[in-house]
Parts: sequence; C-alpha cells; structure tokens
Amino acid sequence: MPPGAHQGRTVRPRPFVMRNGRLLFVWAMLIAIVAAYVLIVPQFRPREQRTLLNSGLTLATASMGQTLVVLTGGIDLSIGPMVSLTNSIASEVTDKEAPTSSMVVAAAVALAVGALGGLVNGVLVAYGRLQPIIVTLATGSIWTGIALYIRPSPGGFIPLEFSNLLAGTAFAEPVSLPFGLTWSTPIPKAAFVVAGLVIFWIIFRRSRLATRIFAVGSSEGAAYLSGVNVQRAKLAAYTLAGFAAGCAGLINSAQTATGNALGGTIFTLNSIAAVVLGGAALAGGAGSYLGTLAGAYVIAIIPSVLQFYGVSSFYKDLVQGSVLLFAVALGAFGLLRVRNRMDRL
Amino acid sequence: MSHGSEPGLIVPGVEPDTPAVALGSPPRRGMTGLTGPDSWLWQNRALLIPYGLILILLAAAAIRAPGFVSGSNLSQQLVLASYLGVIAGGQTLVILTGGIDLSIAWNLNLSAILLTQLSEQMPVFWAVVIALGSACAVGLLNGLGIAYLRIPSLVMTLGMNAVLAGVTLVYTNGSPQGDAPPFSRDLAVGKIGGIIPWALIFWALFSAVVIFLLRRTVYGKRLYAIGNNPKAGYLSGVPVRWVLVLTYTLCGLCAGLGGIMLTGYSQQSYLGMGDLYVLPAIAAVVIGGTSILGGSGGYTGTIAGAITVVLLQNVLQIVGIQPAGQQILYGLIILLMLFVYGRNARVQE
Repeated sequence: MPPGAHQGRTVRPRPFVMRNGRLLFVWAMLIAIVAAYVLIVPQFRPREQRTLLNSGLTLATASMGQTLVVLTGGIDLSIGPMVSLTNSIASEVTDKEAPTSSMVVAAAVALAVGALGGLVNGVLVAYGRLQPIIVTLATGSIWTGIALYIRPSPGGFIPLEFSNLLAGTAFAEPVSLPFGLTWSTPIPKAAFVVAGLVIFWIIFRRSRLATRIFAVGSSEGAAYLSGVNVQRAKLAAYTLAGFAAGCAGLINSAQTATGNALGGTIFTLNSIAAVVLGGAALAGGAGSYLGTLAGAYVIAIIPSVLQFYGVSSFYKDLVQGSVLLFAVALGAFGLLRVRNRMDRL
Repeated sequence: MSHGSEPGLIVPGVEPDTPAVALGSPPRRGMTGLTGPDSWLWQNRALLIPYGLILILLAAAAIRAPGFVSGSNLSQQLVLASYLGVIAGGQTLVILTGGIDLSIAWNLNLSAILLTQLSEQMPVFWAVVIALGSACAVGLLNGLGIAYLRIPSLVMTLGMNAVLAGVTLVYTNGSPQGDAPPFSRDLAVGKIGGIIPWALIFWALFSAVVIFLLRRTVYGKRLYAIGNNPKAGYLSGVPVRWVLVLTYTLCGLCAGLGGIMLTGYSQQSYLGMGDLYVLPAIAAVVIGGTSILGGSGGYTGTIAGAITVVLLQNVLQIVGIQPAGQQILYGLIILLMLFVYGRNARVQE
C-alpha cells in the first residue's frame, strides 16, 4: 500500500515522477555515464557508438530473461551457464565448408536448447515446487558440465558473416529510399537488437501472460484464487528466460567469434545486478524491462568509461559494486517513513 | 514472506535438526514402521542421506582404487573437507535465517591476503586479529544493510562481493605479497605427533561451538524462529534485526577463518582463491538437509555435506569422470537432494 493511501477517502494515484522514480533514476544514471563517455572519447563517431551499444548487448539480452523470472518472485542462476552452453553449441555445430547454412542450423539448435533448458528449470520450480535459487544453481552446474563436454577448451568457428550480422554497422553507405529520399546515417546493428527487445517488452507487457506473471509475483495465493494458473505462468517465464539466454549466447558468439564453455559465467550475477539496478523487486511483482535495459548498460559501460578516464581496471569491480549497493540503499529510504514497525522486518 | 512456511510452524522444533516438512505433516498413529512418514528413518533422512552418500562414494573409490580408503588418505580428505566445513558453517547460519551470503568469496580472499601481507610487517598475532577483524566488519556491514536497510541478502552480498574484489585488487595492486605464517600452515596441514591433523581438531572444536550455539543457546532458538517466520518471531520478542546482524557477522568470521586455513594449505594467498568455495559451501549446506528457505536444518548435516562435496570431487576424479561429468553429477545430486528433503507447500491460501 502506498504511504498515505488511507488518509483521504479517495485514493489519488501518485505523481508520475514518484511512480516511476526508480526507472527515472536508472535512466538518469545511464545518461550521466554515457555523457561522461562522450565527453572523454576523442570522437563520438559511428564506430564508438557501435562499441558502446555492443558492449552491453549480451547482458541486455540475458537480463530480459532474468527480469521475467524475477517478476515471478524467482531467480535464475543458470542464465550465465546457458549463455556459455549455447555459445559452445554454436561454435561446434558451425562448419567452415558451409558457413551460412550451418550457422542457421547452429542458431536454431542454440535457441531450442535455450528454451528447453528454461523449460526444465520451469518444470522443476513450478511443478516440482522446488526453490528457484538452488534449482537453477544445480541446473547451471549441469549446463556448464554439458558445455565443457562439447567444448573442453576455448575455440571453434563462428562465421564472419554472422558476426557482421549482429555486431556490424547498418547503412554504412547511403541507401536510397522511396520518394527520392536517401538515408545516410550509419546505425549500429546492435541498435536494432535493442529496439527489438524494447518492442518485445512493450507488446509483452500488454499480454495476458505478463499480467499473470506480475500477479504470481505479487501474491501467489491471491493469483491462484483469482484463477491464474500459477504453475503455467512460472513455466512460461522460465522457458522465455532460457530462450533469452540462448539469444544472448548467440550474440556472445557473434561478438567474441569463438566458443568458450566458461565465457558466460559473468552474465549470471551481472544480469541480477542489472535487474536490481533497473528497479525490479527481487520479491517479484514489480519491475520493468525498460529499467533493466538501462541497468545492463550502466554495468556494461562503467569499465570502458573508467578506462578512458585513466582509472586502473582494478577499480572496475569496486565501482560496479558500489553503484549497485548505492542504488539499492536509495530504495531503502522509503522504509524510514514506514509507520508499522512490522513492515520493516 | 516465504510461501513454504505454514502457520503452525511459528515455534521452532524442539530438535533443530528435524526437517520442517516432517513437522508439517499431521501426526498419524500406527505409521511408525520402517518407511512411514513418522518412522525414525524418514524423520532423520536429512542426516542419513548425506552420510549414506559418503559410504557409497567411499565404496566406489575402494573398488576402483583400493589405496583411496587408506587411513592416511581418508584423513587427508577430511582435512580438505574441514576448510569447506568451516566456511559452510557461517553459510549454514545465514541460510537458517532464510538468507544467503555470496560475499564469502572475496571476504575470505581479503582476510587471507591481509594475513600474508601484514604478517611480514607486524607480529603474526596482530595480522590474524586484523584479518579476522576485517572479515567480521564485512559481515557486520552485510548484516546492517540486510537488517536495517532491508536490502535482499542476495543483492547486498553480491554488491559487497564486487566491492571487496575491487578493494582487494586495489590493495594488492594485482599481486598479493608474502607467505603464509607458520602457524597457519600448522593449522591447515600440520599434524600432532605426525598422526592427528590440527585441522581436524580445529574443525571438531568449531563444530562443537556451532552445534552448541544452534541447539542450546537463546541465539540458536531465535535463529530458527526468524527462519520460520520473522514476523511471528518479532511478535514473540525476538530482536530480529540484531540477530540478523550477529548472524552475518558470524558468517564473515567463518569466512575469515576459512581464509586463514586455505592460506596455510596453499602456503600463500592469491587472487580468486575464494571463488571456488562459494557454490560448494552452499551445496554442502543444501546436501546437509538445511532448507534454503530457512528455519530447518543444522550444522550436523552440513558436516556430512562438506565431506560429501569433497569426496564427490576427488572420487569422481579417481573413477575416471572428467570435470565436465563432475559438474553434471554435482547438479544432479543437488536436485535429487531437493526432491528428497521436501518441497514447498502447494499454494492454495
């Protein structure tokens, strides 16, 4: 219940700024960091824009999955291992003789494996009624094991065309449009992926499934009594999370152009950090991918900003961790106004 | 709060090591046979399964490599388990409250590095005091953030871990100096009279203290009360926030002790030495039958869990299973444990 909701007879919705405080905060943080980056780099050409967008692309995609799971009140610690697994699969299925056709097969297999892995998590959590944190810890260990079987040492082959498809620049040469217009501004292809993620979220947010996922995260019991199929909603969230991790694995493959069975490990904790920075409640039921997206880029851009300002890379973890703790501590100030001391427990 | 706790479970069980699931099922008379829900076997499955697993692993090792079950090798395995057991001790306390501590990785790393670097500049005693003091201070900060700012423990300790990693890197400039002081080597690998390892004696004392804390002290009772239902605990007069702060501080202390032992074992400190112990510590707690939701379990199980995890790693190697297979089996065993130890209640309130 919002503070002050029971003072007047009518409940007025809180002002826009207050309702979206966390969202605005994380976007302000992102804008500040990007501004710091733009100020220090010698030129902000398409090449720098591309680097900037690419740096957080895998994390932004993986964090989409983490957001969906966190909204149900769960957590997915197997996201990073799944990124590694799909990356390993892609690097193994591809064939130098037939790069294009084998890459299509590799991408399809990777996405299918991602969704299947998410499904396994979902079945264990929803129907097995097991605790998400420990289930996904265990499945994450299993995915890492499978990835190590497929790719014991880093290597493998990712076609250059695929790397260009996801990490290159579009409209590098002016393109003529209908009505005699031409488009001459180069756009990093990563921008299309980010736009795709945002459009997916905007459409998804209005779907019945999203409403059910939010309901389950807010109160499982109430959702159940309202006729929501709690288990199916959770299953869908985890499956989509696995699929998103599969997409992230493909993007990681395109960017690193190699396979590494341990290369995705970092995305587990960073995706949680992105979700938390983005203002979602770990207890579930509140949050938005729009916040997570900004959170993911804040985490991803910090190292390059520090590098450009000549700060030792030793400070990277320190700054990332401090930003995360600062953001969550800010959220705690609302507690100081809580009247009932029980609510503080 | 957690959906798993039922209204009838406000008061912690008389025997803390009894799983809450068994408490939740209605007592049925005439079902006290070998396999019924009230039977001794079923009630104590949280203890029997990990100890049974240890026997199976030892049998597998004995068939493949008879030398593995020799007295000296077994005591070596126990010594390896003692490092994990001490680290998992703090994690047990935290998980009993329903939280989790991911910061033990760099917390133990920082205290290990403080020990080796400072013992060159000052008496070893003060180096140990500072190393353990920093571990406790980190735990205290975790506890304050979690109890007073109500930051979820996962996020608080995740952020703290990153901060500590940064602090350690900056402090050491990327390359830790110094050697492990002799006393820590004795603690980790030394033996009394060449037979009984000091590490095992220390682990036995440590276990006695933790089990006493959990079973016989007010603090222990309060820990279980918070884990079962913090609001009910608060209404019953438990100083919830103080107990949480104390618990995370103790967890930090355990990480610091583990750091000192690991330093002695590897003769030096190095960056990233704690990362290999976070997930195994959680696995040891879970395999030992402590519910990740808090409120049920105990350290007796964690001891078995720590031995199981260490044996699992080493026996699988002997049986000829690659690290990849170890990872897979590791995950499967944790999943199996979860199914055996009881699941969340069906949501129907």
